Amino acid sequence: MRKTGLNTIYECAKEDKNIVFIGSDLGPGTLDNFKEEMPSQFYMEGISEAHVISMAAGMAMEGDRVYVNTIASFLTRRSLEQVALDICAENLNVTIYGNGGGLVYGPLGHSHTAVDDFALLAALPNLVVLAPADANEMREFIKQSATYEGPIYIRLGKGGDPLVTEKKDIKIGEPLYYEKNPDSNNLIITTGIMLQRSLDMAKELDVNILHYSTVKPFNTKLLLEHVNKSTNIVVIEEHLKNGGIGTSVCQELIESSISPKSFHHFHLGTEYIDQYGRQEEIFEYLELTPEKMINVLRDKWGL
Amino acid sequence: MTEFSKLCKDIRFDILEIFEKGGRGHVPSAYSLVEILATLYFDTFKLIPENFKTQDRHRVLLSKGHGCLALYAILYRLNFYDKSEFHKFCKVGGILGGHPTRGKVPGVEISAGSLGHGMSLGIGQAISLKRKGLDKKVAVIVGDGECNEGSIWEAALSANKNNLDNFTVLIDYNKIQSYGPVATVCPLEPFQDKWKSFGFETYEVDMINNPRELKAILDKEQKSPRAIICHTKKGQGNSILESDITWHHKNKVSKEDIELLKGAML
Repeated sequence: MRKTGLNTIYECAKEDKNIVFIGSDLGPGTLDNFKEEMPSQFYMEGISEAHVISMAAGMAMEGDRVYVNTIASFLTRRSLEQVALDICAENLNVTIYGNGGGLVYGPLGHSHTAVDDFALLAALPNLVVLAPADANEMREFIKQSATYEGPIYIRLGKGGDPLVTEKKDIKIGEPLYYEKNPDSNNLIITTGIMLQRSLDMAKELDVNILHYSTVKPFNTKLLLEHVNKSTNIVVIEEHLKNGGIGTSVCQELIESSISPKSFHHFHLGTEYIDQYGRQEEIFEYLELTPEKMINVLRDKWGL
Repeated sequence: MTEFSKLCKDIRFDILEIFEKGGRGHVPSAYSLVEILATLYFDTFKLIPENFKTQDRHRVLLSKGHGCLALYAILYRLNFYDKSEFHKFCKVGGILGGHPTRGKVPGVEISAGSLGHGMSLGIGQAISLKRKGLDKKVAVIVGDGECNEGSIWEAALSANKNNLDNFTVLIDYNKIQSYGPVATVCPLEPFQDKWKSFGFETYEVDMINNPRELKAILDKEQKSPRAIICHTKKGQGNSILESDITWHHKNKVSKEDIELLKGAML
């Protein structure tokens, strides 16, 4: 997913001289072809996330379309004020490309995991928050971001995530609906790479899936099309409990006076993760594997 | 009195007028800026509203946003907006806020308020201008206290790395920050050495006794990013504001206060 996104930025930059890439201190060789072929559109500025975000804003004020890339937790937590004031308040064409969304950097500890990014960014005006599930979605999102007016944050998965989305359906702002049984009352609402886990669960359960790769703005219309008072809702997200899509789902339903039959939220808890481990290992530790989640739902729904 | 010092005095009276009408503001931080901004706007860059219709203009970025009264007074004198806005300073429906907002006040390049942003924004602009082959300069004014911010020094590294010979940072070194003297709150000396070691062409200028020297420095050919340490006084040009630290920010102001300050203008 990461490589696809970077290559797509490179392809877009070849077409549009106003497209600029800024990295902090990325791995050696990152986008070498970009650097060689378009040196005036490629910047590697050092470990200075706050500066890099404001610098991107300054360039965008002059008409550049800027992609900023480094580790998501630093771009969101460390530079939150720069993102809020210099990019979002000014509604500039800056795309923040955050490596290691969710638990991808689980072995490195809570400084590096981005499990609060949706919550931190949800409050910021103008910002679109995207969490693609796979490389297909990433490619389409980057292509669309190249002409989108306004700031965007993209949370990256770890790479190598199975391809489950189809190119023709992917559009910023539009959740994807996976219908297994039109008569089912069970609905999984998910985002990012939890889509793959949800699809695995759908092999065992009578359930449809609504995939919110656009976390913000939250598409309420589609939610209301698929939820009524007999729906069993389960939200699955690789994010802390508060401020992610679970929060959005609850708020939108209450505002629309819809009370579903039941609601269950699989999330990462309310504390930073106190264990080191690969993404899958932490999902196991938190009992968020498809098997464990299926068992919980079977009990709850009496299946 | 020279023409320039008369201009600066008039600007100080305008600042006082906005302060009086708005009933609040950071006056001493604006007074130390007057000669710096007046040099940039009226002499070196010659900015007028027509410049702002295109990218073909030099850029002045006020990073120490709390000094905005000086910027507002100058933009008014250059006909960027109407004087009726003075009454609405910091009020609903007005364009002049306690910190400036880009897009709201014509002629304001960046929104400012939280310190340590302007230098990086200006560096982004300077890079972009060079990329586009536009021979225009970017000047960012930061406060001395603002140089406590780490992002200032991240930006300094970047200006050097990108060989920005179209970028200048001017430091309003008025020696006083909110709590007290810069020298005790968070000392900056040896200040010029710091900028020099970051790869800047550095200058020090006495803006109290010899403010015209700034124009001469700005007119010099530039080969790398430039830092100009402007020695000023907080409240400069007013005997009361120069000597009384409690005037840093006021949110209540009486007619008597204004009369007192008018009488203390140097």
